[in-house]
Amino acid sequence: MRHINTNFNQHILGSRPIPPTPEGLAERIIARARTMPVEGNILMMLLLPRPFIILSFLFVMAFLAGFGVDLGFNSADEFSVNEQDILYSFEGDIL
Amino acid sequence: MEFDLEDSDEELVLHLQKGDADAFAELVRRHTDYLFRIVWRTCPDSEEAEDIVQDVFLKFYGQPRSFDLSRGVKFKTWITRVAMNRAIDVSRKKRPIPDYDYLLQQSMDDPDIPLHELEAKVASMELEAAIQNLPERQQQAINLCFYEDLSRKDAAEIMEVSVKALDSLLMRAKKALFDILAERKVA
Repeated sequence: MRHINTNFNQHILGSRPIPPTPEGLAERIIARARTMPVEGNILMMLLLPRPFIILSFLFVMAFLAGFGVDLGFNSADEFSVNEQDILYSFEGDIL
Repeated sequence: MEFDLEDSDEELVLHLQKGDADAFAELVRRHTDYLFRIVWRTCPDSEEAEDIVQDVFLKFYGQPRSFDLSRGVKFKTWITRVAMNRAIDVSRKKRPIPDYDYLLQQSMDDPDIPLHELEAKVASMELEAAIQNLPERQQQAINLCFYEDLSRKDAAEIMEVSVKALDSLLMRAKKALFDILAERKVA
């Protein structure tokens, strides 16, 4: 029985082909992982790629601006609108 | 503390769980070839197999605590089980046909290839097709025990069966393969 098994394993099962691992697969996986944060590791957040950090910053700024927070890019005077301005702006349309 | 290249897989996982991404890189380098073979044998399509291996590693990287060190299971056993289960799912949905492009390419690259080598290649393709026709569990048993040379204990642990049940699967797989191949020779 043992002889039959050995024969079977070596001469029949032994000839099965397998394709080679795609070249550079391990390094591609590692490279992709480096763009991801590790669970619970805040330090990794600092190593995120720069485009991601910039986009995150812009998103936060847009969010704050949406709530009317003065981000300091323009002086308040430039955008102050008083009652008179609104009245005059409608004058032409009425006439 | 940084990891050592001689650290066990489980020690590397511990480093990764503490946030050391280089420990993950080492795990990937150690196991990519092995996992690719395991996955390809279950889902014999190179592109699919590559995607599965990549997904399994990246999911683990995103949630390294999904591998519970306190359970005393080897990392290799655990990741093999995860990858094989993914491969089975994909294989059930897509039923890939073994891609033999790499074998044919080798033959075309060498115009002086002897006839007996060509015959051996055809025979190996027939063997692959015969194994793909076996029931899923029998295929897994053959893949782990014969082609990856894992111990019966490790293979049984990956398949979540007893060693006795694994032996039974192996015996049935061999008998079925022998019958399929003998039938083809007669035909």
